Amino acid sequence: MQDLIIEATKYTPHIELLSSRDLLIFRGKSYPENTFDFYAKALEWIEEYLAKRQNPATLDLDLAYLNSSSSKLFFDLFDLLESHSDKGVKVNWYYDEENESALESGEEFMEDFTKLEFKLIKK
Amino acid sequence: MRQTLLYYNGAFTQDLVVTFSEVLSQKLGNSKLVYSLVDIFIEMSQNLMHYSKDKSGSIVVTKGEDGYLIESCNTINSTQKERIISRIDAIKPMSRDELKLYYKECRKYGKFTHLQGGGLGFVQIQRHASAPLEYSFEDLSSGETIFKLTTTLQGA
Repeated sequence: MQDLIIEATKYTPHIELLSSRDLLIFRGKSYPENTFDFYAKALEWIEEYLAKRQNPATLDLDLAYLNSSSSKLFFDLFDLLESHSDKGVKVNWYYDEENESALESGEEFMEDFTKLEFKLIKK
Repeated sequence: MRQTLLYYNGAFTQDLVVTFSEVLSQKLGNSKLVYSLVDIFIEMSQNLMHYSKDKSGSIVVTKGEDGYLIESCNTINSTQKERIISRIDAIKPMSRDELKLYYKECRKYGKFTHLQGGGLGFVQIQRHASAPLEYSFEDLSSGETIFKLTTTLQGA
């Protein structure tokens, strides 16, 4: 399976989906106008990857800002990962010490997805 | 006397929302309060883009002694009025903890099909706000309605 890399813009994160390393990275801000259109390609890749993978997956998230529809999208992504958590899914949620909201946002996801190995990591 | 930090009236684009957000952050620095202000601004702008017929309207951000006011104004299709009222009225009396639970409840609904209708957006705005959201409507003879939304954010 080919890797998928999408460069960041001012309002969408840098995305690296690396099947060879079982690593999914999202880094930056997320507030596109049409969130589901923007993430459609990445979600399609992740669904295919989850169906084929053999190893535990790691999701590295460093999201400084999520608008409400991006927050909904990541909720659905965690939900999808949780339904495939039998082969193991680690979530590393990175946050800046000064960005209290990013920490709270990570905590709220962690409360909802107890089957994922969810870690909050100060940068 | 309130100080106007930002006033815009016209067509909205995603690029403008980005620029205005950056202007607010640069003017006010990086505090939790400013993060909330910018988040409210983005949600209200994107709501305006979604609800208004031609992605046009106005947004004004002012600063007074006790904090900020963010006001948006745009025309909507009259049929959306009741939906907006019921969504905002549902969250207005909620406490901070109730809003958090309600936000998480709303976020579960639907899967990869989130219709952009301001449902979750209003809750996100109300979670930051220091007072219940205030709205008003004015029906026009054209069959359209003017929708005004005011968010209060206290703090200096």
